[in-house]
Amino acid sequence: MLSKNDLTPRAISRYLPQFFIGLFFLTAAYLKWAQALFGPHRIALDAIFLHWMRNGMPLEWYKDFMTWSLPYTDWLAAIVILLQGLAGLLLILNWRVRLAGLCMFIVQLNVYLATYHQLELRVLGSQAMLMSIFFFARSEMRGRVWALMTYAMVLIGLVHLYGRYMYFSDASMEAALWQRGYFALYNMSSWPGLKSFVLWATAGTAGMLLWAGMFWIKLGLLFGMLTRYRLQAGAALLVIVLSATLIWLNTWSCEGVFWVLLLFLWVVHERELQRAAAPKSLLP
Amino acid sequence: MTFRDWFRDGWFLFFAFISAVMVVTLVMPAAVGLQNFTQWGGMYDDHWCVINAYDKNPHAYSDAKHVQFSIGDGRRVFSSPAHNRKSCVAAVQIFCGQPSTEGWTMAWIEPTLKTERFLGEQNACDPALPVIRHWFFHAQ
Repeated sequence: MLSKNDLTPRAISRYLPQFFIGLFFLTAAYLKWAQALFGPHRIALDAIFLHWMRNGMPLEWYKDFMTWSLPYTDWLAAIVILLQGLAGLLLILNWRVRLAGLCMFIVQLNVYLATYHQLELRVLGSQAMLMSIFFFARSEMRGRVWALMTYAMVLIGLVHLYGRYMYFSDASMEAALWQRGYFALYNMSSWPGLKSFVLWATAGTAGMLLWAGMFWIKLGLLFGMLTRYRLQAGAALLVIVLSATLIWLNTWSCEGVFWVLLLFLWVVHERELQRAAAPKSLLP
Repeated sequence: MTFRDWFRDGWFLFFAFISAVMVVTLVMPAAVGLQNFTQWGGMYDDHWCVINAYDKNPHAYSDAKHVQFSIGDGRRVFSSPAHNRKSCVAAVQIFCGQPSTEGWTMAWIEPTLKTERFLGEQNACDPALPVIRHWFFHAQ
């Protein structure tokens, strides 16, 4: 539970990403209960399982478990809601954080296995598992363990960028043109002024270069997270990802928000570590 | 470290700024008039905004021509556009008075969200409705 010692500026900054991640999972549990899995317009979990299996998303051996569990999916849905809700609540209360990490990990590992062959969902599951591992082993998050966490984060980022490069041609000027057109016509931002600003800033050749160049900037910052300037690189990436989440608002994936949460967690912890010792490069 | 030191430390200010932006834009955007749909707390794919377009009032004329399609179909930059009621109305208003794929003019549109025709029998192209389509009109 929160105590007087937790009200120092240092403790508060350490608590901030934990609070947001806790709130996210508590909200996720509530939305699953009130809307997605049990609400009036629900999509039952067995239908979701069948959809995933039809599209070849699970690992083969995990598919057997999913098939076996089809008659019990309402129970499974209830367990998922309970585990996510409990994890969220514990993180917000800053109480039994290790248990919260374990609860999150159990849920996310199952989602990961069930959607392994879908690249975006694999990235999403990896992000969530990394967060849960952080909370499960937070006291160990220094030295080599923290370096491993950083490598894992960069790897997930590279997989994400690989998917964007292969399937959406993110780095090319041609793709930038149709992406901008799609954005103008079908997407809205957090507020109309932001959308107008983005369209204004990306008009013309320089704007299109910026649009296509954002892929390379993100790639550079990812590698920057392995250098001794990794805190600055991570912070810049956090700002870019948060901006992108607000600009590309109406997408159903919460992957953008997961990047924001994970990077926030990473930057705050890295800053804590750098207060104690000057950073060294993680490159060989 | 005291709070005075906190305000002298750029990183603490950065964390506070990011937190404030997240609260305003992701956690409780509606409270300050901003939009956000399903990103905070989940990913649910039943929020398609579907257009039911007619050449005239289908409740008055049984021979009204009809076409149905989702917004943002086809190749996508990210995942499919999700919508709430307000943004769905804003998005469908783009198509008012535009020719359908069959050539006739779409004069009467009833949007559907989560399989629900949330405007009832009201026409989304009705001038009496607040015009909020500027959100999607930048390309024109």
